[in-house]
Amino acid sequence: MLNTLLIYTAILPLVLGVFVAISARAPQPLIQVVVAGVALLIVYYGLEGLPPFPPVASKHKLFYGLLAIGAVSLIPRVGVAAAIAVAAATVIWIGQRRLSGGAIPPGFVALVLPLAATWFAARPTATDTGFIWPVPILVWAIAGSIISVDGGYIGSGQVLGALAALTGGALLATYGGLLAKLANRPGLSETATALFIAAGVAMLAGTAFFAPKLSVPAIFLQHLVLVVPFFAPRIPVTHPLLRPVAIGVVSAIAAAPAVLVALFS
Amino acid sequence: MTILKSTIAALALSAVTMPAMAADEYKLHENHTWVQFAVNHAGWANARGIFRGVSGDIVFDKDDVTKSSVKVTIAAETVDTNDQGRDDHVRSPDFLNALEFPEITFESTRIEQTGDKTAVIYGDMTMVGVTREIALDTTWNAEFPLPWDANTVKTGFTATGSIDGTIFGMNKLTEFGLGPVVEVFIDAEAIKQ
Repeated sequence: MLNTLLIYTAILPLVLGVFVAISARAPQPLIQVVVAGVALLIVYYGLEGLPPFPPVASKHKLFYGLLAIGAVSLIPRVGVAAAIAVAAATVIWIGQRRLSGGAIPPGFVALVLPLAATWFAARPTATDTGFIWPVPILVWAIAGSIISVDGGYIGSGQVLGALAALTGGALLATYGGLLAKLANRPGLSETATALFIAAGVAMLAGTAFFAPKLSVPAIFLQHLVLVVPFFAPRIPVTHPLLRPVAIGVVSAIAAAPAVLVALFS
Repeated sequence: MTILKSTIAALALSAVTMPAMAADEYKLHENHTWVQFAVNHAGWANARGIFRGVSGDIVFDKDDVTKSSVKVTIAAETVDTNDQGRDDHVRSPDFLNALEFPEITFESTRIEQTGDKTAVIYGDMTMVGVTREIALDTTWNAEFPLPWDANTVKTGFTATGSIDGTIFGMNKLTEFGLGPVVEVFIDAEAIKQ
């Protein structure tokens, strides 16, 4: 039982993340987006199985939302904008039964923040080492996972935990490559990074709408982590290889209020 | 005299033309209805729970029980497993998905009489947006007026059944070492209308 949980929540996504990072070496950048999109679907399948079509419940809709987000990310030039639009539509689709009842859960409003961050994550910066966005995304997904589990929705916590492991796998491979001087390019392209945030927003929608005991302040505070990339290049470090670690520490500090509020509210 | 004759004639006519009124209508007495369940927990023990919000209607034809019917609605959020944290998880989309699908319903489709006071009630159960047929082995226990109120007649049933949670899409049951077969125990009292 525990083995199954560990395999599909952590180990499989971690390994898939390594493949996503390796796919950055493919001649076509879009290949990594395809690999990342397929990895997200495999992660979902491992945790929830193949959903029915048409989908019955919100968690089934997530699979088709991830499929659509991944597919539109492949559109040249407008892929990220399309992914954001589809992620927003997926969020509304997932929450349809609550929204149609006239309720606007506050957690739903909070999802606007990471959606906006998706746009910035896809903008290349001169100082981008491949860690500026992925490290905070890793921490953001972990925080979302904890908030989901604490809110009573363990399944959503698993999916978000798997996203964290997926990102972590890509980061490990990238960092390992840097240490071994095998590669000097980012493990995650801007589009793949944006895809991960957009997917994370869709995953978080399940928690925002249907977690029985959601901490609303926590789901707002969680997105503080996504502010870190805006000043991460200016974090002082003694060696460039320490920057990812420093970003991780700062991200963890930014995520702490959300986690603490979730656990103690 | 003419009026008396007419009345007798009318009564005689109605006795011939009107069908027998054997079917009685009942409403579940919510405070005296227990819908409980047990699900094996990783082989250690059977985890048990109860739904506290149950309502429903029964049409009970004692002359021909196959013409009876049952319709029950359970508020999914009223699940109680004696632990708040576990209740929250059971209400989540991993299991009952109570915010998205607030009601669990059962509507009988056919009844097979198996004894003087026993029957199998087949019906459509709708849970987490999925409808599947289930069967409930049912025993009619007793019916009589309340000792302190002769005008209120109460009847009572006991029913049991087994439901495979995965046919309703609850795949997480096995992942968390539960079931997946859920045993259901129902004790219901109903007031004649």
